[in-house]
Amino acid sequence: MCTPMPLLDVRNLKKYFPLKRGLFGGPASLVKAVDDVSLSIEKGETLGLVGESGCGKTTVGRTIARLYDPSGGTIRYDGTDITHMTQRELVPLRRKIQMIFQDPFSSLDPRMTTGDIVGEAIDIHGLAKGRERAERIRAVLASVGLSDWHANRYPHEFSGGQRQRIGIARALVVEPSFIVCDEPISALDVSIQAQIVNMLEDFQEKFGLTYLFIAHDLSMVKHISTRIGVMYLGSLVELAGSDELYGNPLHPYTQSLLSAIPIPDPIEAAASRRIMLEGEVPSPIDTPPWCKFVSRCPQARSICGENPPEFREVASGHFAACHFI
Amino acid sequence: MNMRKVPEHEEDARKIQLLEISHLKTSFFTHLGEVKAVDDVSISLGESETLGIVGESGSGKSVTMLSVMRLLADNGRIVSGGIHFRGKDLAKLSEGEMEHLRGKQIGMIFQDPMTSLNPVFTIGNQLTEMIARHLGLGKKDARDRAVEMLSTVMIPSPAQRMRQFPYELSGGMRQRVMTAMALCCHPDILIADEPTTALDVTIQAQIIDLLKDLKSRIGTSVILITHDLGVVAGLCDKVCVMYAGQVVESGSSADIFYTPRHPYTKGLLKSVPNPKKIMKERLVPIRGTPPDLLKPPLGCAFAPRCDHTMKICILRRPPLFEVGEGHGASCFLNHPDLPASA
Repeated sequence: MCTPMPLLDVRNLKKYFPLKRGLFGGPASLVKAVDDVSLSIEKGETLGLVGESGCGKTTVGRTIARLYDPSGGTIRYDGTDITHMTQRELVPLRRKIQMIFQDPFSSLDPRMTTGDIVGEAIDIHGLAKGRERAERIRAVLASVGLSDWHANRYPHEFSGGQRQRIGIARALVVEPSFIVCDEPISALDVSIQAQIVNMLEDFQEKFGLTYLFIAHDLSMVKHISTRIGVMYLGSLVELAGSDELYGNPLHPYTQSLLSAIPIPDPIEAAASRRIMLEGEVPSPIDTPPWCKFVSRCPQARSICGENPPEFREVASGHFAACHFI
Repeated sequence: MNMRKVPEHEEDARKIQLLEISHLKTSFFTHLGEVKAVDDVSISLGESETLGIVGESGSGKSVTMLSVMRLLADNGRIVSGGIHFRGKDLAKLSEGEMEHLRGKQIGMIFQDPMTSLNPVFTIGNQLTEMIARHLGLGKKDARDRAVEMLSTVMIPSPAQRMRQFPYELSGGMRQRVMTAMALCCHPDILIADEPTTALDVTIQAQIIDLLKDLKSRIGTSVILITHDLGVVAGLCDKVCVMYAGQVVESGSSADIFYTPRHPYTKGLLKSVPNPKKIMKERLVPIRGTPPDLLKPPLGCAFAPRCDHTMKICILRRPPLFEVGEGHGASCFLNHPDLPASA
């Protein structure tokens, strides 16, 4: 983890979405979807990002891929600052950073054949024409386990798992080095999830890919990730190697989140103890300037409602944001 | 839960179960042909048991339960088989009698708490209507009972919640309201169809604990439909694994998790990572995809994806072989004449 330059380096990333002003023009409220997130991803590793819905994990992924313009902070990819690049400047970068989406039903154009969907990426980046283009499409479809004749079919003719394979083929065909996987398996059936996860692992090994893997299925994230970051209300609360995080969670939120994972083993499930959280995730609108977890934290004390905890390295490679660690 | 094929004459002699589904076949008639969504399913449920029905989307787990509730879509029909509730044949009940039974004796909660509540009525309105109707209570008594039910499912400040509309509540709260609604007439059976699928893991844990708690306090029998083996392991006494409209394996939780006898069950267990394991093992997926129920395979539905397919698997559908006390698996590998191997 001490290599001089990570592939992706994100510093103090912020993404705020303004809400409509009130009737009398009061000050606009902000949804701080991502609030001061710093992380780095080494070449060839998988960084998992977990958290409950609305915690901002997808927004982090989309902002890093520059599908959103960041409200603050910097994003450096391979040493280059890409934070404020224009759409035109971003084109060559888009070949390097690809994205796989959660919903294999809405992320494919229903009026395009599989071949066109994958081919469009080749055309945009001017990678190949004519016979070579067709050959590339065939090769990438074969690599995700689809046959030649699938290229002439439309998305609705495929099952969810196959559609997700098309989405992966579309990302892979431009030979990227970094892929943001935004909940790529959560819409799939259990027996199909493992197929897709294994495939992603194979491609990583074969092409030296780097992944940002966003998910809410904590068991799968542990399986696929080298390191894992836990988000709560737009901020990272803990980041560590995946075995370290699951074996030695320090932040109270991580502890309760991990204890809530259902374990597929009746004896272990009966023996495990849950740390129940009271209530629900508060609204992300106008979040308080102190610790965001204070309203649900079983260990909260007065300082927690006064100062924001610093996100700091508490052990080698293990970061957490809590006053009591 | 005895899943062995029982000849008709033996059936009378057996103890009357709370719910007995025998050889149920439910089909949907579409313009493409008949979809055999449930194909010869037998399930039984005893008093204060928790049964988990596990399967992937399209395996027929929800349709089986919708058949029980007689809530099938217009093009769906029970083709054959029987559903008996305390010995009473549900297929022979009139729509009016069925309406009386639904909610009062069998309650159901659905996957999507966002769309299962009526958006234009308050929570209190919806709860009291149901209570007044089924229990014949006056307005005030029904209200009191509704508030009491909301606190049973651990909703904070229930009296205030009564005045709120569904959109004012979060997903977890809505699922609690649904549960309160399903439980307010003290039904004998609570059918929970993927109650936690739409929820976050911490809220899921709250709902699972709630179901566990209600089970021990009220003693309701629960049928939990899910695709999540983790949820089943924590909650269910018995498990039924469904695939392509059929029950492929059934038994106690321990049977299914520790000594699975059907290749599909084994495959499912291997394809989910156990977060407690430190060593990283490669997942073993089940190859291929489930069959098209418009054209179901002639023999075993799992044969095209199975690693142990034999000639007979393609030609004949395997019956449910009894492999232990209350443990059955429909796979020819469990045929008593087959030499014992793995």
